[in-house]
Amino acid sequence: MMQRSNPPTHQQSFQQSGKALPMIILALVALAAGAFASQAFRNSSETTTDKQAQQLAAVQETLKTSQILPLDFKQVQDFELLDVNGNAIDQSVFDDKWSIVFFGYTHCPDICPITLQVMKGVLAKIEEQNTAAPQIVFVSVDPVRDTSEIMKSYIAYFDESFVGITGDLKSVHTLTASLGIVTSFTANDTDPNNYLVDHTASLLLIDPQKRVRAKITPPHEADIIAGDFLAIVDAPS
Amino acid sequence: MNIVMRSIIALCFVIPLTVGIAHAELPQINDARLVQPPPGAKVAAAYFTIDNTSTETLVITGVSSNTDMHTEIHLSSVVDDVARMQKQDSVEIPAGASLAFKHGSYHIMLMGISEPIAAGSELLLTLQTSAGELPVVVPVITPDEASTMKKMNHEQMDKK
Repeated sequence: MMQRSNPPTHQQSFQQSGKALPMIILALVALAAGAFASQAFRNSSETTTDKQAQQLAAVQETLKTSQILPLDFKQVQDFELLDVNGNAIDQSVFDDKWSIVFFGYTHCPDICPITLQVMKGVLAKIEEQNTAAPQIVFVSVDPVRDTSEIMKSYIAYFDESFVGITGDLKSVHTLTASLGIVTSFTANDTDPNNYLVDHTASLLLIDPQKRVRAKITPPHEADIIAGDFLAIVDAPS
Repeated sequence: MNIVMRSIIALCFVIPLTVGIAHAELPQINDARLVQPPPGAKVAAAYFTIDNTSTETLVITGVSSNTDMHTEIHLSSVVDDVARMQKQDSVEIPAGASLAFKHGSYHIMLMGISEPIAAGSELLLTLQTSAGELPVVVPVITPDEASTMKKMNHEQMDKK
């Protein structure tokens, strides 16, 4: 009784924690068993496991402008649109390779051309590291004005290897909406042909299994995007 | 004293006076440029920096060009991850302040490009402002030149 009312000494706290130790060990063993069981269960259902989530969280710490996403976050849905030659293009364009996807439009003089210019820089930086460069895909959020022909000359100015996607407005919207990309049209009072299109600024990183693996938020700088890409490609999946 | 002499003497007083006023009040426009738009593009953006060296707020109310393109003042922004462009009816620059028309911010939007705009050429913009009309000679540069320019500005900033 007397001892308890006294302020605890170092020795007392040591003794107390000494008594508590077996209980703590028991609790830890139970927790570990639980975690193991739940991980084993999750492995079987093909979702992001706790271990993967921890590894991805560790990779996230090293990223500058990219937000890494859970492995089961989103996958590119099937679509049927047009490439820059007016030929059919579908989801298989994302098969077996990494892609960085940019959503924009050619009537955007300020941000869009500079982003494409940055993409050119991203490819150069990644190739310097002897890593296979990702495919760059430009999806028009303004397919009515951005015909295949216009997309072709526009994209070729930056890099002919860039893939352009356009098509009918409804099908493009189905694709962008499924990827969580927003678009909004604003009329121009003085010139109806020069309406404006607001759109999601982030780029998406798609992996070879067509999973959306990261959102690359602006400001877009070649060095930073290339660095983030290299970190995510090496991350467990 | 003949009329010529009188005029010369009078001018000696007047010229420094007007030059002095012009220097104090006319806004200074620097770093004007237009990045050559890709072929197929129907629009382009012109950038520059305005220093309002006067003691009054400068209001830009409109813009025109020496081409048949339609010109407007626009503001780009990214809010909540949405990239947006909005037409501006006017832009105010407080006395003593400077405003950069630049990538991701204010720019002069040129619409309805019918002929390719070649790098190395120039176009002339006229700003309608509270201080009168201000001409801006805008050189057309390539995207690579624009990147270099940006890099150089960054390095200058780093040194500061």
